[in-house]
Amino acid sequence: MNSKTHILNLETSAIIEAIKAGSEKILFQLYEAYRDEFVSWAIRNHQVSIEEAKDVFQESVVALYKNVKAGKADTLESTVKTYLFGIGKNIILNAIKRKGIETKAFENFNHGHDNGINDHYDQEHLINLVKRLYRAMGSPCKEILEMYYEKGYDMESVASQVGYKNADVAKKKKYECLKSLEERINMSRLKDILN
Amino acid sequence: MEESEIIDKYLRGELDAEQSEKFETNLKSNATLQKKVTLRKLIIAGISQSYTEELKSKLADFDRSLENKKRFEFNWKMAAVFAVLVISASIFYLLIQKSSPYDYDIVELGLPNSMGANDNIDLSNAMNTFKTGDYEAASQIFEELLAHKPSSDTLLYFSGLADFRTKQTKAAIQKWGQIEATSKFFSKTNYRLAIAYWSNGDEKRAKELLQKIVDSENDSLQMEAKQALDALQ
Repeated sequence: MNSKTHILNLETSAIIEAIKAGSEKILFQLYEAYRDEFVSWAIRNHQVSIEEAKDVFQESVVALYKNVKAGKADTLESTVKTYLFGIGKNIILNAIKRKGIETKAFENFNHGHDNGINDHYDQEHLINLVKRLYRAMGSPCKEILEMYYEKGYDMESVASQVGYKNADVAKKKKYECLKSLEERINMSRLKDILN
Repeated sequence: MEESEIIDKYLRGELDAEQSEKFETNLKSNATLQKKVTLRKLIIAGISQSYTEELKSKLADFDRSLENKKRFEFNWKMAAVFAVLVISASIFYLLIQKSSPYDYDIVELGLPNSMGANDNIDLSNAMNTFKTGDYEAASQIFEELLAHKPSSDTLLYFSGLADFRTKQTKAAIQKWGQIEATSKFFSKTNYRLAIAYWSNGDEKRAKELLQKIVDSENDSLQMEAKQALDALQ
């Protein structure tokens, strides 16, 4: 059975549940099943290049994942395909709008000025710094923290994925990893920002 | 339950109503706990951002693998189509192609030159001309010699061969037909005669003669006769 047939046979709720449960496989199946159709649609309707269309579709699948994790797709009534294409359309329209704004901003460069770093930028900056410290962690800490905090696995699932004897061993290891990351953060320049 | 675990459970919505209320009350008045929760949220956001960036990157890699797969499938299909075309064309060519009797003509080195009597000088000239491959000229010289010696098996054989090679098949058949079984050229002539019949459209006689050669025990041209017979059939 190919990806498209498999996906078409699944109910929207089953797909959402699979994504929620941390299945990466289903995201790749969705990508493979609808990529060509999306790319053709995007090129036909929005005059984007093939590479841009593919990039947008990748962003769309990531956005679908984020929305599902955030519970925004819990009451989804349309098909996942319609939802995915809707996200893609918004990304393209926002990019076009942003491009217009950027052009305008460039034109008004000499007349305007920036008010400085805002709260949103601060938050983004902090997350980026944490992300870098997290990425520097080795295996299995990186995987354990990802499974627990991002994929929402319980400790039994983490133990079985990593190959630990039981949930208690995984829980202990997760605690050590978290502590290690917090220490790294406390040793970094983030400490001053957070305090 | 340790504080770190409680923070996790609170953020994951895994505390019951009573535990949650207690935690929130504590959170409002405890600045240290507030910092810890903020830090935990930040860590979760950092992990999430890292994961989604990696997911995007994995999707881009997956896209490339899909492209390669498509390209491979396309190349494979093209190769399959090409192979089918080549095989079909080959089969068609083999089916429509009919073996030519001339493909089964055997090499004739000619006789060695022997100087002496006038007759021998003439034969040598004829043989030299034959050996150069000028069968038209050789045919004429052999014809003239044959006028003087009409029953010479050597002349009948070589004259017939020069005729055959200049597509005068009937003349060749007529000459080879006169060579008797006692002649040293008889075996080669029989084979050549069969090929000449084939060339002349008389496949029945050609097959009969070739079959005889194949069936004979000591004929040195058995293998050639078998190949010609297979081609004819």
